[in-house]
Amino acid sequence: MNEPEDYAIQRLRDALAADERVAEMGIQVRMAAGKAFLTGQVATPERQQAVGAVAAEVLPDYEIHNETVVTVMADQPRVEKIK
Amino acid sequence: MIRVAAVGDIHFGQDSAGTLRPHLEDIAEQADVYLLAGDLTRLGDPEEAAVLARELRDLPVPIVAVLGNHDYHSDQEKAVTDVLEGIGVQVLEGTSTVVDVDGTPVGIAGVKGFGSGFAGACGSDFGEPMMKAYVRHTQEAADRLREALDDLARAGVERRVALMHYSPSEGTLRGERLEIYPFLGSYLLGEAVDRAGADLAIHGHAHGGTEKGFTPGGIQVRNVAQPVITRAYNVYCLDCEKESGG
Ligand SMILES: [Fe+2]
Ligand SMILES: [Fe+2]
Repeated sequence: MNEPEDYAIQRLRDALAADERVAEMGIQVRMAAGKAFLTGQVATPERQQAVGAVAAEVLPDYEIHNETVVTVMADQPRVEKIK
Repeated sequence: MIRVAAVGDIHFGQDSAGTLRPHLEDIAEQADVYLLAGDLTRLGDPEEAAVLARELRDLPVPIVAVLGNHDYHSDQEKAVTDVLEGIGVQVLEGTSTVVDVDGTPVGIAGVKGFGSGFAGACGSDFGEPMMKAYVRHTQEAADRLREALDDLARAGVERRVALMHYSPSEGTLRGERLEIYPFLGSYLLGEAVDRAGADLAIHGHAHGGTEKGFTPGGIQVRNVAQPVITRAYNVYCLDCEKESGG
């Protein structure tokens, strides 16, 4: 029997948290028709690449779509007056 | 006027060198103190803390931090703390510090905190030892935060900010999946802030949440997780209204 998608999703999410190249807990994984779609934010381009690498290792039978984005750092802070 | 700069969840690793400092060069013109709301490192490795320390060294404003869950991952939170304190960062855990802003003392009480969920949908101190330990860890953190805020009040410090990693409010979690709220924060933290009083509560941890919220008692809460604010910091100005006349 093929592994149910729910288990495969969580296996990947656990791997993304545990793998020292990534250590991200906030990556969302969805699956459809043999494809795995990864979304969420990562801090650096290196980690974004590692997300794709880990996914390919953990789910070799799926077509991986690494749609994570690297968090942008806008230059100027926003200033808010707290009442 | 007290300008509080804050960010959380910068998750520093070896690949983060040089990513933060360029955004901090004019911080003294923008803010009076810089708060770091935990998850300062990726794995809680002191080497990662050292990369961050190099970015923060000799900043012209005081830096006050709490650790986050990632900073505990390698069981080296003490070493991570030592590296940061080595360059003058005040790392709080159930403790407080006072910074002077043009003669006005501003107290910051900090704690990592923990989860358990929010009133009406939270864990209880009941049942198996692990369940009780989970809720008690949060209760203890909340108690220490409340004491630290109370100590500041007793010392006559009128301006107080509560700094946490986990969230004291539901509102700043909007955008996260409801199912994980109990892992993201606790009403016990909000209750501690409400009972002791504070001008502002700052937290991180909820990368998919929302910046602005408030406690059940109406105290303003800001989620400064970097993926939320997408800045090296945002600035929250206390007592700005009266000085600008509106
Ligand atoms: Fe984080
Ligand atoms: Fe966190």
